Amino acid sequence: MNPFISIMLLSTLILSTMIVTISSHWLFAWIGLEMNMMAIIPIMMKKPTPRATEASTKYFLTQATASALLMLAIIINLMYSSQWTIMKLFNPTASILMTMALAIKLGLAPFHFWVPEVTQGIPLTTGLILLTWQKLAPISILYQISPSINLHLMVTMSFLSILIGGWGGLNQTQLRKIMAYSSIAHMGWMTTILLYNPSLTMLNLLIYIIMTFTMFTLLAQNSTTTTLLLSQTWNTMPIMTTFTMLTLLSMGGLPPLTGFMPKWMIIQELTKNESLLLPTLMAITALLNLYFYMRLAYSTALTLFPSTNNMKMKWQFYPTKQMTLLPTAIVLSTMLLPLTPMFFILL
Amino acid sequence: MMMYIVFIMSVIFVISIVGVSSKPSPIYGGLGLIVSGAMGCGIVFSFGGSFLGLMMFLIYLGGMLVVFGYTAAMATEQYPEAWISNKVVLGGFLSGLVVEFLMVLYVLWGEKVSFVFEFNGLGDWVIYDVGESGVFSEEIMGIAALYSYGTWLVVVTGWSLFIGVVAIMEITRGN
Repeated sequence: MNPFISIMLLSTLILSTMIVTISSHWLFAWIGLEMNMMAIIPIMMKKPTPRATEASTKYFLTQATASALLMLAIIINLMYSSQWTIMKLFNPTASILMTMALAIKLGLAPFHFWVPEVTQGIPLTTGLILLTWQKLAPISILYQISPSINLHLMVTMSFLSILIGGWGGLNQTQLRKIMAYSSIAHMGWMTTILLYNPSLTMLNLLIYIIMTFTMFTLLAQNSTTTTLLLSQTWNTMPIMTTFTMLTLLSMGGLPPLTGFMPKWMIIQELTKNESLLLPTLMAITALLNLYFYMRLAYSTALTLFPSTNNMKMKWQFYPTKQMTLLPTAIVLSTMLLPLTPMFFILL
Repeated sequence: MMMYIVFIMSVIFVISIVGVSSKPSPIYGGLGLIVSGAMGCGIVFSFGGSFLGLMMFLIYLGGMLVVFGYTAAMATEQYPEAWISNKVVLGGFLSGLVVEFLMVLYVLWGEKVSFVFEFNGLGDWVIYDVGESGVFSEEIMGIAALYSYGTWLVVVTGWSLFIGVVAIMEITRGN
C-alpha cells in the first residue's frame, strides 16, 4: 500500500480509539467506533486475495450491525434520560441492547463466530491489530456503562465465551484460529469481573494485550501460521522455542508466569462476592485453553520434529526481520507476577 | 390539515424505507431512498426547519443520491429485480409492512400514544409545546453553533468522511 495512505489509515485507527475512550458524548463514541471499522478494513485487505475479501466482508457486516444496535441503545437511553452523557444507562432495554452490541464488537459468545474466520483470512500483523487494539474501544465503553449492565446476561455471555474459546480451539492447527479462540476465552474472563470490579477488567486487558503481542511477534518472526511450521522453529532460532513455550504457558494461566495474575485476581474478587460455582467452572474450563497451548508448546519446544537436512542449518544465519520490542514483551509476559501489588495503582 | 399532511408523509416514509430494506436491485432501492428522503424533508419542513430541509434536498438527494444513481446505472444488470418481479423481495416487503403495522397497533394498545384525527380544533394553528424560543429560529442557531462551538465535531466528521472515501478507494484498487 502507498505509504502515505498507510500512515493516514493507521493514524485514523489510533485517533478513532482515542475518540471513543476520551469522549463524553454518546454520538462521538459512536462516530469513533465507525471510524475504527472504516480504517481497519483497507488494512485487512492489504493483499486483495479472496480470503482477505471474505474476512473483511464478514468483519464489516458484524461490526456495522453492532454499530446500528449501539445507536438504537443510545437513542433509547436518550428517550428515557434526555441527555447524551456517557454514564450508566437509564433503561434496561437500552442496557441489554448496548451490552449485546458491544459483545458483537468484542467477539463474545454467542456472537463469536466471526472471530476465527476473520483472523484466519488476514496477515499475522493485521491479526495482531484486530485482536488487541480493536478491543480497547468497546471495553472502554463497557467500563463506563458497567453499573447498569444486566448481571445475568453478562455472566452468561462471558462463561459461554470461556467455554467456547476453550472448546473451539481444541481442533485447530492453524495458529491464527488458535489465537482467535484464545482471544474469545480471554474476553470471557475480562467481562466476567466487569460487574464486580472493573479495574480487574482493565488489568486483564493489559496483561492479555502484552501476551498476545508477544505471541504474534514470535509467530511473525518466521511467518509461522500453522502448527507444522511452528514445529520447525528449533531449526531457525532455538531460543524462540523457549520463549514460545513460556509465553504459551503464561497465556494458559500457569503460575509463576504473568498470565496467572489476572486469573488469580478475578477468582479472588468473585469469591469475595460470594459466587463460588462460577469461578470453579471458569477455572476448570480454562484448562481446555491450557491443553491446546500445551500441545503447541510440545510441538515447538519439547520435541524436535524431523526436518530435511538443509533446514537444519538455518540457525547459522542472522535473522533479518526486525524484532520490535520482542525482548521487552517477553519479559513482561513472563516475569510480571511478583509485581502484582504494583497494580494497586489501577484501583 | 397540516398535521394530516405530516401524517400521510410519515406513512409514505415508512413504506418506502421498508421498500428499500426488502432488497430490490440498487436502482429501485435508490428510488425508495428518494421518496423517503423527500417525505423526511417534508416532515422537517412542517416543524419549521426550512433550511435543514432544503439542505437535505440539495446535498443528499441532489448530490449523493444522484452520484449513487449514476454508479448504480453503470453497474446494473439486464433485468433488475423490482419489488414484484421476485417472490422473495415481495415477501420481504409485505412482511416488513405487516410488522410495522403490528408495531403501530402495539404502541396504540399501550395507551401512551394515540392518533389525532380531529384536525378542526385550531385548523393550521396547532401549538407545539417546544418551549420559548424568542425571536430566532433554533435550527439556524444550531447550524451556526456547529461551526463555532462544534469545531471539533466538524473536524471529526470531515475526517471520517475523507477516510471513508480513502478506504473505499484502497479496497477497490485490486492490486
